[in-house]
Amino acid sequence: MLSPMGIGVLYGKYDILDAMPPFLMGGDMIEYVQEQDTTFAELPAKFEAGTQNVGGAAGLQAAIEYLGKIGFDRIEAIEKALVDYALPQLRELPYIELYGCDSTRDNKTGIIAFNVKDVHPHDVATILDSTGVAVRAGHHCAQPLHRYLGLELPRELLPLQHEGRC
Amino acid sequence: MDMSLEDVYTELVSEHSRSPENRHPLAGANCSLKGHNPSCGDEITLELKIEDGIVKDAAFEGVGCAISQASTDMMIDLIRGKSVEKARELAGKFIAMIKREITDDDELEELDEALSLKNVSNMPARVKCAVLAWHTLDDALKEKK
Repeated sequence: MLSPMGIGVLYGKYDILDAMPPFLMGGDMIEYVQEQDTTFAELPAKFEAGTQNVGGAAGLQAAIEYLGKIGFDRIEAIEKALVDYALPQLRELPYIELYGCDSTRDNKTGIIAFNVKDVHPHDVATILDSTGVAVRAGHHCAQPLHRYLGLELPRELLPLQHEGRC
Repeated sequence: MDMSLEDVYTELVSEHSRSPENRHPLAGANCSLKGHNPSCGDEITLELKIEDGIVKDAAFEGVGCAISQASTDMMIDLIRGKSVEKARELAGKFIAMIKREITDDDELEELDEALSLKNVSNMPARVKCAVLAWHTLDDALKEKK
């Protein structure tokens, strides 16, 4: 969601998180330390041992505020418009293979999975990048699915966020 | 980016990747090593025929992107007939070029056609494609010394 890498959010019910023991010991997560016993800091500090990723946290907050300012309804509308624009044109190109883009159903998300026949996906990604189009090329954490589809090589995904000028 | 892309995807690269002359099984090969980029699926098997410390012949088999295939094809043209020592030196030089440790074109001139891949050093995501064959070669020859 546009934040720097190396940061994320754990979202959980307070009572359950409170009952859980810390998974990592370190600075700033203790309350009182005795010889044989320790009590831990309140949530969320209990789970935040050691040096904090301060830059990441500040960046994530800025990203959340940025997306909130645009509004998720508007983001969804822009993504839908981009899919409505891109999909019919991709369907017209004989050298493009689409996956999960059944013409009888609407795309549920702003992601289009496709393959350019006879060209390695990483070459496609590099060439598209040079024209300002960002795609993700790779295994997409789904090597078994690629093998099932008869694709030995990684494919492209077109997440339509880069073109969404808000 | 436009400039460097055009530089990288020149006719030369595209020629070498679409119909690599050196992609075939090698009769009489006495050294074979597999190189693999697990994150992108580039995979080559380098086959060498080494006699009296000379790389008499070489070939490869495998699949991958245009850059990895072209780089491998050019490398084989370059090392055929060279001594094992010289081939390793050239592999070191190519890798140094991609890492921008050597930037002087005069010094890189002996890389010949492979010099055309110099601009891959500006494309961090593609560096591993370009160096795969050369690392594989270096690994294969390390054991031959």
